[in-house]
Amino acid sequence: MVTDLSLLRLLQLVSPGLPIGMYSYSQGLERAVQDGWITSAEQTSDWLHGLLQNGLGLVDAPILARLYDAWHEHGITAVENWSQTLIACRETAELRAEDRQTGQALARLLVNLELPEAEVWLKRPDATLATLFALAAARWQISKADAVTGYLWGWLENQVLCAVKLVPLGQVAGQRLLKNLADELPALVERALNLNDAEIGGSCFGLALASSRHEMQYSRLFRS
Amino acid sequence: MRPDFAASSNPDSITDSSTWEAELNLGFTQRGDKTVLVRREHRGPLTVQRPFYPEGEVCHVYLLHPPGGVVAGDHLTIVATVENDAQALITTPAAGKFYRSGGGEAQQTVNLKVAENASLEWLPQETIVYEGAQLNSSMNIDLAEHGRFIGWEILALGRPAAGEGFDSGAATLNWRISRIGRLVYMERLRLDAEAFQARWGLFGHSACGTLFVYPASSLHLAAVQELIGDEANRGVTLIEGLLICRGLDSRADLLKGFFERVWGLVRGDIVGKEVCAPRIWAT
Repeated sequence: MVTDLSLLRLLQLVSPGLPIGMYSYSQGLERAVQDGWITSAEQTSDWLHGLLQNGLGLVDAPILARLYDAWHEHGITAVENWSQTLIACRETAELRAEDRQTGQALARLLVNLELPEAEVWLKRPDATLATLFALAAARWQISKADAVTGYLWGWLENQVLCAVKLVPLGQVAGQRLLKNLADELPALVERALNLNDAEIGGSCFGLALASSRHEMQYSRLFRS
Repeated sequence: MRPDFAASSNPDSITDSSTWEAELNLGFTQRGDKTVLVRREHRGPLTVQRPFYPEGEVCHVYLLHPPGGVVAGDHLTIVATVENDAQALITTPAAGKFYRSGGGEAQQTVNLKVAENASLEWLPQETIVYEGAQLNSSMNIDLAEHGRFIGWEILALGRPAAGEGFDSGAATLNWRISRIGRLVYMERLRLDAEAFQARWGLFGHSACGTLFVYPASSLHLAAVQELIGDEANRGVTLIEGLLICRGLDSRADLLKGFFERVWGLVRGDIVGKEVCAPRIWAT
């Protein structure tokens, strides 16, 4: 029953309970709320939709797929190159720090879950969440499409949890957002898996601006 | 709109009598105590005026694009190389314009190379992207280990003063900055009607801009953060020595004013000179 086991591994990997500190990063959402850009569930939905379609779907998702292939083929050079490309696409210091910190934290966890290949990434500055997520997915026989879907789901759930605290939104409103935005994921994953290398890359100006403004926000709950 | 120019110097490259391929290749070299424009090759309607020296060593150059605007099918390529120890500043005498497309895309490619201890300032006036324009722009910056760079891009979408928004059209704007051959920063901004209005995009602001400074320190970051203070829609970050300043505004000239103030804060440390605003900006 390899299939069932790989599903359980994926659920473990995308759980908000995974001890890599995701809950402490809002990715600019905290500043967007502070600046009055986001004040309702509908505006939260627009924000997350935009980030999914113009950011993650064109950057994280296709690069995660390439990292997954690289780990399968034990192509460490390809792993390094795609990690570096992903970091280069992060528009602010906080977004880069978040990726490095969560990537290194996941490396630490994976070493303890008997994936010794993760060990060299404990201190590497080019560790990203996607780098280590792809390693775990490849070694735990999670399919590539499932890995990309799970990664996007994990991001979405974390962002919705942030929005519930920050905007703030009711718990049910948050779950409704999650359900509706999840509808976008299958097509987004399919598009991401079919992008060629030259098509990779996307930026959301509002995110980059909000994140850089978060870096000088005086009072804040989140690290990004 | 644009004057009816005679055919380009390279008719073979023209696929349609109304579109142009134009290319400009500039090389700056340090000779004695000043920087000389030693290479100036062009093909098609893209050229530079004679360089001048309003502040001594630094070579100031104005890029000229006689058609005055870019239409679908045009492809402009600008290459500039600043050799070891040389110092160049490139600007434009007027706003760049990308006109409404009747189909097809206009392309602009800019490849800038900055060698050891050289500096390049790339400070064009704003680019106006008319409603309905289709534009694909690529900025590629290649820095040596001790290369220094200040560059900005200021976009004005639609013409709000003429009551024009950005309900149609698309601009894809790429930036790639490498240092010693390693990709440090990559951005691909796709602006269309949705991105123009959306909170994650420009939130309805017709002007957006990005300013890059290398090599910057945490002191520069703090100085720019202090300059921003409580001002809305301005941000700054510092990644691996690359300072990136961003802004949204209702008017491109206000954004340019902000970038000029940031330029004033950092230029002394990066270029070793106080700010010397090109006179053409005042006209």
